[in-house]
Amino acid sequence: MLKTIFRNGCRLRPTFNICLSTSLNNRLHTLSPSNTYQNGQVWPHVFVLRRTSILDRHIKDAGQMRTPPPLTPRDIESRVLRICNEYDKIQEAQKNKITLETHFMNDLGLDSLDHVEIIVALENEFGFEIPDADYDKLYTVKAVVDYLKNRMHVVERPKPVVSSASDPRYDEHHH
Amino acid sequence: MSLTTRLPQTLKQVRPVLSTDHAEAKRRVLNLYKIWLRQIPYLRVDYIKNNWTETHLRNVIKENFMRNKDVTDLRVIDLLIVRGQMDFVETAEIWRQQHNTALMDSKKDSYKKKSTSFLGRFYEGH
Repeated sequence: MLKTIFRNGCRLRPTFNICLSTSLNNRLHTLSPSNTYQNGQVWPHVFVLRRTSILDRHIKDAGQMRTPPPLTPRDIESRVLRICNEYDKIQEAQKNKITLETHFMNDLGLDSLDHVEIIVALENEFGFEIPDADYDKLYTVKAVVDYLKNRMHVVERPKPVVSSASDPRYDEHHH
Repeated sequence: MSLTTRLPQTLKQVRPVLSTDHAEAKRRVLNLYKIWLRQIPYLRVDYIKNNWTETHLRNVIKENFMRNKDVTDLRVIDLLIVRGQMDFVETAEIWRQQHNTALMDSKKDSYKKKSTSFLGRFYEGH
């Protein structure tokens, strides 16, 4: 922390010097350019601009390092539909005709192995494993979306409830 | 009293190898298929000389599974699954040589569907 402050201070000093030097220069030699040090060194305006832009970018990045916004059901839907549309065997069968009610086997003519491929793609997309007992629930797109919603809600934790249970002062049995 | 009536019901059933019913066997097959699918990127790295594309590998794996699509006997299915798992271990541990990957030699159905007609079975010798 101290190190960074020190470094930033070092970096920031030139601008400060520019201000100083300009005032001094204006007072002493009116003909010399404004962005000149006392010892005659030039600190171009471009450098200053670039440095500030880099700093600004860092600040922006730091602002973005938060938890991502929570998933909405519409997000899940669009992602599932994108996966289905990207799958090459479906593309051969029907291009972009997939809706929520589409049945993988009946409407698209896939077999169970293709179905497993879709499930693997889903796992890659959403980052958790779908157990094989649930395969026969996931035959339609709608079922997949609902299943994912359920699973994501399980993963999503509710806000911690502040409880007084651990505090013996609030324990009702002792009163 | 004939022998079949006197035998208890449990003796008539064949002892299962792994799975007791078709649903379980199907689950095992799909699991094996998933394992193979998950292995594809590693296969490409491990057997880099063969220069397989991902789609090609997927097709080959599927073809290998579809070769035995007509098998209905549970015990046979189980044995095939076990063999597939052994194959998988061999491939994943790179015990296979690069030129000797049995993934590649998939030419025809290893299991022919048995014909139901009388003459067809006669020609086959049953």
